[in-house]
Amino acid sequence: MKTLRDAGGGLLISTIGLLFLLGARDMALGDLRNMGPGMVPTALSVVAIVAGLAIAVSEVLRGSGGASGFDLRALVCVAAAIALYAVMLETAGVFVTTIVAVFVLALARPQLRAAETLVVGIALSVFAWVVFVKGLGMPLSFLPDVRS
Amino acid sequence: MSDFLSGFATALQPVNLLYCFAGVILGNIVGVLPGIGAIAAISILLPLTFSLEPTTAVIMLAGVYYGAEYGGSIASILLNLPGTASNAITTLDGYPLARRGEAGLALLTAQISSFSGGTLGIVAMVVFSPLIVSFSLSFGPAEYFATLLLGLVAGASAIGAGPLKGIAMVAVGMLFGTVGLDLNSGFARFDLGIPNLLDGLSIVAVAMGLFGIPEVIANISASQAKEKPIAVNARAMYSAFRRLGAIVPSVLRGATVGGLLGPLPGAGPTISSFLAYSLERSTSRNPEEFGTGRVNGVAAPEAANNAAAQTAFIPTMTLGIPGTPTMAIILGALMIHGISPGPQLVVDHPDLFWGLVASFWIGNVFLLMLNIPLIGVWARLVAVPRRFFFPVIVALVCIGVFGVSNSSFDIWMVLLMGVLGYVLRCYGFPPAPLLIGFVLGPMVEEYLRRALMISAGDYSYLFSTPTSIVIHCLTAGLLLWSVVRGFRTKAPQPAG
Amino acid sequence: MFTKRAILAGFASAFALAALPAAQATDAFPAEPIRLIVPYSPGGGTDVTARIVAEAVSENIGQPVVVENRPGASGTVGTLLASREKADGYTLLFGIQATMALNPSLFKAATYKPKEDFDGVALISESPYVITVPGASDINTYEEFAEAASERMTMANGGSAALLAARLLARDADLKFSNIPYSGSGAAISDILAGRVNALISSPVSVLPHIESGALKPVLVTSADRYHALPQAPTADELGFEGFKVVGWYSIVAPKGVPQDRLAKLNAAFNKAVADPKTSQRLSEIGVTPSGLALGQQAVTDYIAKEYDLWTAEIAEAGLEAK
Repeated sequence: MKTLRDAGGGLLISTIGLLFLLGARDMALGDLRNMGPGMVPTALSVVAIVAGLAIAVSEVLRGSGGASGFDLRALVCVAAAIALYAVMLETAGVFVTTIVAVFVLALARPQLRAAETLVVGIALSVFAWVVFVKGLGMPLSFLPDVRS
Repeated sequence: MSDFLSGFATALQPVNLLYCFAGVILGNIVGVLPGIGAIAAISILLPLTFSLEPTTAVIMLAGVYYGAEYGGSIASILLNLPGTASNAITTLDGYPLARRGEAGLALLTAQISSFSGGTLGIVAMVVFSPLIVSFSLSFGPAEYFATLLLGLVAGASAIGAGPLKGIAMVAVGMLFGTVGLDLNSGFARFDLGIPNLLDGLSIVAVAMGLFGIPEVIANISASQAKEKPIAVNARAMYSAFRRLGAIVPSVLRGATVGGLLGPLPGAGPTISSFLAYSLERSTSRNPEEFGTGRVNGVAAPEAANNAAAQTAFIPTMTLGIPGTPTMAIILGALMIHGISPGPQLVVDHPDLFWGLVASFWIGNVFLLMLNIPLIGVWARLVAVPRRFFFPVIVALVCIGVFGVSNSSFDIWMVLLMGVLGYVLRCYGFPPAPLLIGFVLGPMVEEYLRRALMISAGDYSYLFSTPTSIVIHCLTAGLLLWSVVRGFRTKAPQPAG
Repeated sequence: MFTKRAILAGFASAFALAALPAAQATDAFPAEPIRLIVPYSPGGGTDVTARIVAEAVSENIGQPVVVENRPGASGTVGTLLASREKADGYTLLFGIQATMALNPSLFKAATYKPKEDFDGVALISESPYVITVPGASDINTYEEFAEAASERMTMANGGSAALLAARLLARDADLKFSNIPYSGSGAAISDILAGRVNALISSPVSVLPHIESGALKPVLVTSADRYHALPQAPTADELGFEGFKVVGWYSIVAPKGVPQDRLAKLNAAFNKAVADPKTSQRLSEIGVTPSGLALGQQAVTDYIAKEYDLWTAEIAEAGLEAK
């Protein structure tokens, strides 16, 4: 288990390489003089896999201790807030999305300051609306678009 | 030179002055805002400029363009959020400086370097314009490939996390860069059947996700801010100014890199900033200090991207070859006014060309005067409890990224890149080589394959010109140098 | 309460409309602003053309026509989006050759069907492609060009439509081009000016200044008639390739099923806008050649269907279709 934790970073790189290698299976390789679309991705995947494994081995030998300062709660809260923007922004509008996201972000902290968070949310959504929608003309609404 | 002076007569007309100021202020604002860049602002302004004189219109649009390069450094330094892609590298040393309480120094360095880089770029335009044109025309696929390879090698070795991690991150970045349509075959690579992926991953989403979001995750639950902001008062500013002597060589090197690469189609400010930073680091006596908050690491890329932003106008105006998408829009603006950029432009419309060049410098002076007093305001922001920053960053990034192509898809990309960036960060992988691989990778492939197509598969074509051979030698030298240096630094502490 | 569409209109016209009941809309079309989806980034050639046309149409249809950029995937994202919009005439799409005739065969992700998902509204422009060679080259006439291209010639192209035009010509004229793809004309022009490639096929607007300065020489244009700004360049048809015509075109389309009277009204408004001398002048200045055909609505639908069939077959023959 400890070994696996030490090797985590390198294995993550190798996994990314492996995913791309699998994805590149159906691309024509061509040859070195006349490359197909699959040549470069395949070569890079191999580099990533090998480099990742080499890093994993060296970290295990070194006993690096794996990831440092990993904060699952913060990760989940921030990821959830971004996901909320992705899901809600176009339909629910800037205001509602921002308020909800700001509260989700606040959950990452030890204690929730509800009033402060609400004020931040309101101010931020008004600011974002003025700058991005009014100023830069983004096709977003402030309040939920009830009609469509 | 007298043409240049007569250009000032054009640029100093009240209406041109007014629109120049309006342009640079707007550019500065969109530069500060993450995600939204000069392209968005210029395209919104474009229809409004139809009714203006062509010179006035282009002065304003150009002002937005280089103004954004100034503003972009501010969010990079204060929030680790690259306002534009070409400012991404500024985060490496700018943000540590700000965390150390030297936000004022970092911002001052960025502004002074931007101004100096911009000014040197303008001087190059005035003095060397024909030379620069022939230099950029001499760049074919072989020279591009050599330059980009140099950039990649410099990128992989730019960050002091060990060569293996550098290589791994560059490779992953290049893999991300392969997503989307393959130019040569039209084959859609890794598109997973999602139309948004056909154009590849958005660079804004990748940069924001890799740099900004992990910073938020890592700090959001920390109790109180540990940073002690140093007061930005007259004395502090004076001492900061005195320390600026140290950046002069960095600015000159950065401006040279930027001035040379700016006119190359496709290269532009972003690559200039990468290369300038790598150059700065590899020629330094203490390369390991880069990334911990060195002013030279801020000065070189900021000088480079601003010099590049200016010289990028040379091929746009004199050859009608736009180097960047933003330049293409400015080209479009000229054509809407019935002016076709090309070899005849300087001859047929001297007042436009030289008026524009003169306005660049006026705009640069104005940006400097605008931003120096603002440094105090920005630096004081660091004193605001950090918990207020996090929702602001997340909101600006998400809404800003949405605006790039009016699509929520890019917000998902930010999420993916943010999570990946955070996990990699915890394992000690730096994000910069990944971004460098992502930006340069697709171009390396494009030019390599183009060179092979033109030469019918002959690899010696890549070494067929003096320029390409010189650049390949530089790359080899850099590789050798980092190996030698690796041994030297390892010798005293074999544990590594 | 502002609707999204009304807010959009607000930016264009500086006033916001309250939502109107749908029933009222049928009586006097258009009763609210019309959305024109442009599947490309703001500021590009396509977008600028769309904005000029939108501005001109706004003046004679009584409602603002608001451009909405939905870029991505060579136009696929915006086109796909438009195909799913309500067919009420209030959402239109700027449909161009690439998105309407090429992409569905080229990209698996382009899942819309141009013939089934859209009705033609108006044809805006038709522009030829022009083949140029460096000014310093020995080639001056098409005959010399064909002679040089009988062995091997590197031919740069700035996009899939130009590439297909080059392939068609190569087949008809039995020429041997090594087609070198570029993304956009910038790097391609740089390479041909320096003589690193032998020839270039591109839109005329990007090479006109270089032809004027003598840095490039035109060999032929691909339209049926000579191109107004390049009267010296012969057409392929004149050179013995009868009926050879490859043009890039811009059109306005609507999601299938818009009531006939609205289509007719839109068709008339767009045709009138494009025929207006001021507008056609502005279009010419950015290198867009107004079609001048003033096609009726059904004729536009047929035009697009014909182009779609032609290029689908061509792409299949070239072996370029998405697998």
